[in-house]
Amino acid sequence: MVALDKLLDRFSANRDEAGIQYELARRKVIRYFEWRSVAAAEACADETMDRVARRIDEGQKVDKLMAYIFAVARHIFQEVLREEQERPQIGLDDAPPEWLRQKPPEIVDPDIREICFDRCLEGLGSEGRNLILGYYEGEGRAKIDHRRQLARKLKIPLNALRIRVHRLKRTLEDCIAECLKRTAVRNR
Amino acid sequence: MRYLLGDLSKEEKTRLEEQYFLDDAEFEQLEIAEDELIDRYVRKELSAEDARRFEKLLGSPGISERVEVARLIAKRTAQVPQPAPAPVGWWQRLFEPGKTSAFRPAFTMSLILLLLTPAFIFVWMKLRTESQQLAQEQQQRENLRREMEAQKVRLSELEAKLDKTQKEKEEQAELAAKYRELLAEEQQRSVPAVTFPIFLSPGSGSRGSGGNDIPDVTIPHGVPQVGLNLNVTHGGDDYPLYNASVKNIDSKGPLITKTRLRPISQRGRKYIRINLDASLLRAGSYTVHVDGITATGQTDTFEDYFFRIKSR
Repeated sequence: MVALDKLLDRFSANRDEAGIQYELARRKVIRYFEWRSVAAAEACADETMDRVARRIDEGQKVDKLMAYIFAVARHIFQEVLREEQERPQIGLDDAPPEWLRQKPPEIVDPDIREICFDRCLEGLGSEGRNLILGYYEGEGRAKIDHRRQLARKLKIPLNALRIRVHRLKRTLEDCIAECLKRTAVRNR
Repeated sequence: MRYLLGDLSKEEKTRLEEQYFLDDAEFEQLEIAEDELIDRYVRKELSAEDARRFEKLLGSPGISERVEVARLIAKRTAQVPQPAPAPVGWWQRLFEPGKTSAFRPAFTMSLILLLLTPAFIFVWMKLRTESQQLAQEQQQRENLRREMEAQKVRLSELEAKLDKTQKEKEEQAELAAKYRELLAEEQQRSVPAVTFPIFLSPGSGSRGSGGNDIPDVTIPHGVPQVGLNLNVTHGGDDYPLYNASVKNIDSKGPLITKTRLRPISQRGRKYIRINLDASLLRAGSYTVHVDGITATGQTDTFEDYFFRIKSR
């Protein structure tokens, strides 16, 4: 815990702000591994943050925290690549490191997902729900025109509309993930 | 999107990743690009090649889940009653030959890609320029940092020099103070420059060398002090010390009495010196009675001296 506390202090002296910054950094690392087609992206991200916290706790001088996190993530990505290349030659007794061992994916009942989706969509409120559905309405050119009209109606630039919808979508996705977790725990 | 579809070189990928790690706004834009890509994938608006490339990312549970959410959104928006289509102009009719035409989606897709490609190129070039600018700024920052270090060193040297100068100044001030003390002591011992000297030889007295002439003295105007220098040369070594008192012949008591005066040698003669305020010596006749003090402390009458002050 001490190592994590030191890492949070590096993000910000204010604990709440530090938590937000930490989560953003972790999300960047997760995306980095996802976009690099690493299946165990979350596990790799957790390993990255743990290593960074350990190094800081050991007294390593870190000037630019995000650049350091990126460097550690890249290093872990190289380890993953090596592991994948060497795996066919590794004997059955040699297992990959624990943090890299991918958990079997949770099998999600699509109906339960849809229930969670509807529940969470309602949770955004009518304004949020209408904005998301309005943004993704239509196809092709009609979709683009519709988005421009929406931006004009809200009196914001198109990029600001994209950002607003993206943040709503993230809230929706996080809510669905939480809902699925609770449902999975209940069903065990 | 080229990054997400694996269409960038190794270096371009690393540069972009470094950028979004350091810049939250860039990261958000990339997430938005992923949203768009996923939406087009679920609506089957990607080319076969792009769809194949995108499917490589589906090995990640996170991306798969986001794809499922996008499917649900697309399903919901498909259920939303579509507004009546706006009247289509001849230009649009040219590029949208018919709703049932199979040519339309592929053409639309190609047109979108054609329109978006310059934008992607522009964004990529902008990223490149900004990356170069960032490198330049970092170099400038490094140069400034080095200059600051050099300035700090110079400042330390100057501070050390200042300390040394201040110490020297303090020492000089001490020496000056000591000198002033010595000078003040010296000045106290010597006759002040503003003292008007009067030299008197013995007049009538037991050891007087003669001369009944009483000297007339005119004290200059504005002189604050008068120094009576009494010649005691003929006292020789008999009297190491003298007492002297100055009296106006018209007044009863002495004006001033000085005891244990040590004679001072001056030009082969010995004098005892009495300083007194010039205001005490009004016009009139004065006597100075001097007693000698022997080595054993005995007091003997020595001499009387006379002088007259003329009106000033």
